[in-house]
Amino acid sequence: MCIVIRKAEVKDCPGIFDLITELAIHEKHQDQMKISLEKFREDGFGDNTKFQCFVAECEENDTLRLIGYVIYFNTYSTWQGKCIHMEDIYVVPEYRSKGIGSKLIGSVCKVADLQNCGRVQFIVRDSNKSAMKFYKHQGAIDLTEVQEWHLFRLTSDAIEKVAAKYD
Amino acid sequence: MPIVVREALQTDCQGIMDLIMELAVYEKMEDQVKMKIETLQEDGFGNEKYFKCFVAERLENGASKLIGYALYYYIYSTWEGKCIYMEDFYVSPEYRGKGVGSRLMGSVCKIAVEKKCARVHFAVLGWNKSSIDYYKRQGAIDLTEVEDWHLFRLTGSALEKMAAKSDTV
Repeated sequence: MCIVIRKAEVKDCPGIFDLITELAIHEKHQDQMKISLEKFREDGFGDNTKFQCFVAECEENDTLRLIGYVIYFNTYSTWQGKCIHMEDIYVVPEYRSKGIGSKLIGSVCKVADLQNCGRVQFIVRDSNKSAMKFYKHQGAIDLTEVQEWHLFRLTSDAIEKVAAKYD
Repeated sequence: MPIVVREALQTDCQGIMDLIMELAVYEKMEDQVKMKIETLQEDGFGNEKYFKCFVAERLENGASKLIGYALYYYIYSTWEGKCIYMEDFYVSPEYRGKGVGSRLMGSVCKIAVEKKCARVHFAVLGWNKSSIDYYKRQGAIDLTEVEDWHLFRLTGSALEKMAAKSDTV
């Protein structure tokens, strides 16, 4: 069994989309998935890409299968400049504890290094104790715990109401 | 005293830098500001633009001064597609209570509507009760409170150590 971490290609889209759906089910939010495979393909591999992706690919018995992925994009800090946000990181359960997650995150951190991005940020649910423990073990700081940062969201109805105040 | 809300220009960068420092002082984190005006100019108005910005400008007796700003960029949700992250949102204290903040935030939300962004995200400090109340009044949801989301950061030596684990082909 050989596992390779590499940049995602357009042909990987169906495999990545399956893993995104698995992650949504794992987080019990599959009803919140509104994006189609076609839109995902266009957003990642079209003219104006909105994210980047690394995949973990397993070769077993002459078959290739995607068993993990990480999706990230550039963000900006007015204090530090260019940063990276890691939106999704997922390894299928039967391939965990083999260092694949670390290698996927490591790939993103290597990009951060190359691009002079001072920060890689991501969000984790407090109830996901194993993930929280893993990230803290890697030296990540829980900014919500340490500095009291709260993540807020405006969704469609609220966005439209606030937009109506624009002149 | 007219106050205009408009898209930022490169010439606004010094005024925006001053407000970035004011906001950092307000958040009690001014020692973390490493930004230089040349970097802000290049990153916002150079060949590759990493952010967009609206400013609130006060015009009085032929002089103008920036008294607020909202800086944002596009992010991506694998569930909903393109979204917006509002990185900074600030109005100088003496100009609050006049609806300037609503106009700035409204500008960002108008972009979200035009660009079909399903979400606008931003972060607020838990002790900042007046801001939290304001955002909740606008219909914003505290995802940390309601869904337990925590914001994590890898930086410095921890970032370097993680990068060393990469063996990407």
